[in-house]
Amino acid sequence: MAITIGLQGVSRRYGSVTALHELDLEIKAGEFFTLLGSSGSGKSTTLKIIGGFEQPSTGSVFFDGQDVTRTPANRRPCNTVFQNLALFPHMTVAENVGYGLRVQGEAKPRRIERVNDALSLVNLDGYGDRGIAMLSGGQQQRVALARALVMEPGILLLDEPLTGLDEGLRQQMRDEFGRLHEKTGATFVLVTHNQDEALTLSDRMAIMHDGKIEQVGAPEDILNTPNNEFVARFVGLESILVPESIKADGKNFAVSIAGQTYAVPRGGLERTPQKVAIRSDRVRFSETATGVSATISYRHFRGRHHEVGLRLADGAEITAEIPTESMPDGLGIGDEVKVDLQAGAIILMKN
Amino acid sequence: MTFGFEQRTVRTSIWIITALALLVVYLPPFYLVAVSFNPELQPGLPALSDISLKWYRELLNERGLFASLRQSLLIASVTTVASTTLALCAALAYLELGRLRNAWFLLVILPMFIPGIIQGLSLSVILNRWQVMPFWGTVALGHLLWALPFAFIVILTSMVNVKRSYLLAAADLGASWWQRVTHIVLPLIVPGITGGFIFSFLLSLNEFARSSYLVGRQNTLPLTMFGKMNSGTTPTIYALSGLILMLSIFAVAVFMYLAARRTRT
Repeated sequence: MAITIGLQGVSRRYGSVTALHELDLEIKAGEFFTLLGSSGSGKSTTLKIIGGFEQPSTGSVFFDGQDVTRTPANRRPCNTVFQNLALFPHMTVAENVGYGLRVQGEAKPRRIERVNDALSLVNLDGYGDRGIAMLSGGQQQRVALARALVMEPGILLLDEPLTGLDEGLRQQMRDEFGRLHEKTGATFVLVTHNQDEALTLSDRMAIMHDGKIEQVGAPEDILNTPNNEFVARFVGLESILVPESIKADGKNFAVSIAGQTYAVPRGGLERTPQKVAIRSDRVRFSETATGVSATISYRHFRGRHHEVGLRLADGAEITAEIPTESMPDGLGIGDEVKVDLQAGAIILMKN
Repeated sequence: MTFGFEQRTVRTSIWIITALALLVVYLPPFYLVAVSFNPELQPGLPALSDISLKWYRELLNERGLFASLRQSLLIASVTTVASTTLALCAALAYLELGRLRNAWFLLVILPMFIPGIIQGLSLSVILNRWQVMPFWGTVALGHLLWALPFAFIVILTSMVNVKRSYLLAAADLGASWWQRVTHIVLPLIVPGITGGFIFSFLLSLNEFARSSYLVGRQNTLPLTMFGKMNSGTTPTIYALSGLILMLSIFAVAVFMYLAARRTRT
């Protein structure tokens, strides 16, 4: 059922522009894998090469070890949910969902049965006779999903499928993807620029930048040990600073920031890192007089929390997310405070 | 919407100029239609009480006109099928082309800008050289040159309904090229194909210059009418003109209706 995807030395050039540099990637069977990156990072190109809509300039694509580089899209055992959905406007919901089966030559009674199963899989029972234009954005999204899933593909490709939906619908569809992944057991490959989507859904993810993969790993691993500054920023670790010193100390590194020393578990790091990132949700105002001295450089109300800019004693800028209920009254820009970096606040970066 | 004083003036002027232009365009043919209902021999507007179908009845006795009408209908039908089919192929080719699109577009519509006299003359010279005797087929060939660019443009216009992503999605679901064309492209460009049919048919039916070079022993309708006008006209010509005009308007109205219904759904 589920299919392993292998990319070996895959690159893609458009004229003089290189969209992908010699990519090597192994996506395991049944995995929910995410390609996370900003626009122009090469994530969509990678997906198109897996789907067969683009030919790599060099390198090969393998499905379950078989070379499919020259197999056209219509003969690959994978299906795609396109960014703009690409539902056929002249067909009803049922005709859209049943299109792939029709092409396969599935007999009509069986086809209707499978279409109905697919529609109920995405909670659209009874919508078969409707026109596409009569559906809401979320319903259209489900039809596109059903159209791909009815084919029982070994690989499901999702090309930024949640872009353009409002926040509530996004959350709902995101949960839907998770549920469908468990139910179908297929290999899911999601392309997105949204880190929350990537972090919540993925078994593993690759962070792409400028046609290269910056880091591949489980979301927790990437969050806990980002390879570099770029990755850290991409997964939401905006505060990056160079500590006064970092020293290896048994199983820990001793990290000194603005006069305070913190013991941070090595987490498998061999070399001593140069920079660290600070998780803004683990920074708190100190109850006592201990902690790092800082000056408030700005504060924004964000609903559930306050985003507070802090200039540390050594000049570094970090951001703190302080829950609204624990935000002290009367703090203003320029005020001197003491802050605690709680356990897990300091994230070591490999490079 | 409220417009300022000046803008309203501008808008009114545009409306007036448009109305005048339409009047200039439509007055002569409608005058002709009116004349066709006048029973007098001299052309002129009939008095309301004089309106008669006399010349339309006379028309039924004009065997020569009917023979050329049949000939014209045959040629128009052949031209329509050939030009719409070729235009469809040319439009599909356009869809496949990347950077060469614009060159291809110009290449296909270029015959539109070549004067009919020259096209007719050059074609008749070549056919003569190849010792092809002129017959209805040679006229249809000339008309094909004339109708193809129009059919191409009409079909191409409706191709905007066919988004590239639809074709990608169909391919993704396993459809071959042929299935993508028949399942996705054709249903979406039905209005364009209908338009291609109607335009080709009307263009062929009314064509004169190319026909005059390429015609065989049986004249087409416009040629016969031209001949009749020169050799002392009988008012049956007006009746025939009126008939053709009304049929043309009807055909275009049907096309517009179909196109409008298509965009609504």
